[in-house]
Amino acid sequence: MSHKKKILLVDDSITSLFMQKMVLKHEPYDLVTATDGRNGVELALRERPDLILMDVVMPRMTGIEALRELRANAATRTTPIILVTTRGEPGNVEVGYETGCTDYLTKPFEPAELLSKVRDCLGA
Amino acid sequence: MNCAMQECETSLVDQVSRVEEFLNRLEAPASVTEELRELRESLVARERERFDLFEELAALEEQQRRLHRAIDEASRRGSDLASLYVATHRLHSTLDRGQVLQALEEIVASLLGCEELAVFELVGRPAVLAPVFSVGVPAGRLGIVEPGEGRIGSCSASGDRWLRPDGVTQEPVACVPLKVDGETTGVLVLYELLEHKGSLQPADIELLDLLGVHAGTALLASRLRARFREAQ
Repeated sequence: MSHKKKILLVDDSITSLFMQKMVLKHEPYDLVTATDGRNGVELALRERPDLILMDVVMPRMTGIEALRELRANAATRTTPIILVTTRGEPGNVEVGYETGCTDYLTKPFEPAELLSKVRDCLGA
Repeated sequence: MNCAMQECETSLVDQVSRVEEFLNRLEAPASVTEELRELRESLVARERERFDLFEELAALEEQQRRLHRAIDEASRRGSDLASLYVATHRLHSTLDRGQVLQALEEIVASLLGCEELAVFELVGRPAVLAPVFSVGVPAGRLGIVEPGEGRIGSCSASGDRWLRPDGVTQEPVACVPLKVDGETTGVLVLYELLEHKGSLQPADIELLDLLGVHAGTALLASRLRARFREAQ
C-alpha cells in the first residue's frame, strides 16, 4: 500500500484553512489542521506530517515560536515547514528563514503558487 | 539545422541538374540521364513533403500555445471562483454576529490582503453611519458619519462602490456599500492594503462586490437572529 503524504495546516483563520483545504483537497495528501501554534506543535509531534503549512500570527503560540520548537525537536528538525502569512515585510521573511522555515508564502496567495511550493517540498 | 538541411537538399537538386547537364554534353547513355531525372524528381517531391510537414508543425505549435493560454486563463478563473466560494461559504455558515464579523475580517485579510478595515452600519432615525467593527484602524479615525458626508457617507448615499485612484493616499482604498435587497444598510471600508499586496486587481473587485451583498445579508440575518433570541 503506497504511503499518502500528510500535510499539517496550522492557522487560526478558519477562512485561510478553508482556502488551503480547497486548494489541496484534490491532491493525493491527507490533511490535518490545528488552529494555534501550541496545538500545531502537539499535532506535529503526534502525526509526524511530511509537510507543515504554518501561519505566523496566532494565539497561544506564534508561528515563529512554533517553528523554533519544532526545529529544536529531533523528530521535526527536518520536516519541511512553509510559513503562510500576511506578514510579508522583508524583516519578517528574514526572521522566518533564520528561524528555519523551508519556504515562505504571503497571503493572499495564488492557489497555483501554494500548490507549486507544496509539490516542491513533497515531490510532484 | 532544418534550414541547413533545406539548403543541402536544394544544393543536391542543383548538383543533380549540373551533372545532368554535363552528361548531356557528353552524350551519356539514356539510362543514366533517365536515372538522374528520376533522382531529381524524387528529391523535389521529398522537399515538398518536408515543407508541408514544417507548415503542419508550425500550426500545431500555434494550437499548443493557444491551449496553454486557455489553460492558464481557466486556472486563473478557477482561483478567482474559489475565493468567491470560500467567502460566500464563510459568511453564511453562521448566524452569530460576532462570527460573521470575524469571517469578514478573515476574508478581507486572507483573500484581499487588507488588515485595516471597518464596518459602518446605518442606525437610528434619522439614520447615520456608526462604526460597529474595526481592525487595525486607530479609534480616533472612526466616528459617526452622516449619509453623504465624505467618501464613506457618499458611498452609503449613492449605493456605489468607490475605489481609490492611483496616486491618492489620504482616502481609504475602497468603500463598499453593504446591501440587502438593493438597499444600503452600511459600508465596508478598507483603509490600507498590506504592503506586499500592492493594489486591488479585477478579481479583488469582484470579491468586494460579492462581499457587499453577502456580508450585508449575513449581518442582517445575524441581527434578526439576535432580536429573535432576545424576544424569546
